[in-house]
Amino acid sequence: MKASFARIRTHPWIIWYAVLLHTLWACLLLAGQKTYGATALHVYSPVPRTLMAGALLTASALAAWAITCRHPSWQTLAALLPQQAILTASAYAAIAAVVMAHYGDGVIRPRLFILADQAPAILAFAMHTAAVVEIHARKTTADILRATLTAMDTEADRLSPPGPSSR
Amino acid sequence: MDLGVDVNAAYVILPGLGVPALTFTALWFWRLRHQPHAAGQLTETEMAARIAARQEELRQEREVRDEHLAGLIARLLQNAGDARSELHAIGSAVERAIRR
Repeated sequence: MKASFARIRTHPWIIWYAVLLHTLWACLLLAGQKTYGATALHVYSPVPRTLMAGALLTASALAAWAITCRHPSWQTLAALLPQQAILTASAYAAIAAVVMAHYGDGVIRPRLFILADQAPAILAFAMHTAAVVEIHARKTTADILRATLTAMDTEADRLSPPGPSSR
Repeated sequence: MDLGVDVNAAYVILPGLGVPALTFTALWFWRLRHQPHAAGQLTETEMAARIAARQEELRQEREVRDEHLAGLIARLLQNAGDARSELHAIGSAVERAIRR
């Protein structure tokens, strides 16, 4: 029996971090237009503020639902993807700002300065993707139990005495 | 779309949609499509109960087999003892016959 019960339990803190971050961004967007000046949010500036705030809150609610579900499934995976899409676009904007050596609102700074400043957006995207994959790729308890049952049956069949022989 | 850093909107939309789509597709083909549907699937409790029942069944089978083997060994030992007694008796009879 190769599957082990003593697996490290995944704590998807990064997903909760993204939920809180996007909820905060939504609140700030509802509070004022100036929030769009932030590099990570500037990519969404053509989208109306209320619509963007609604999208951020919806993505957060879906992600919170997904990680509180007991069993990972294609539904929980799909529910995490809007959050991942938002993080991807933010990370892309951060990388673009580093490459072009100026922030989303046009402020010019050295590349390393912007990289140091925008690193959390890039790392959050990478860690979020890793967490989504880890949650949905790991073996569930049901998988392990099913494998145990199959292994027991196979081993019992192998060890069972042969039927009445012709001797 | 004005991104402030002269980036075409397509360059943002492409990874924004492409990365989640890739994640979903990869996980679907790697793990999720192998998961059995909830209907007709045993719950974890049912599976644990089935494992416990199977274990008990195998333990009982082993006990019966052990008892059977213990009986066979006892019979073989008895036969060996009987054979030795008969051998002694035959040996004594042969000795007596020679002396006469």
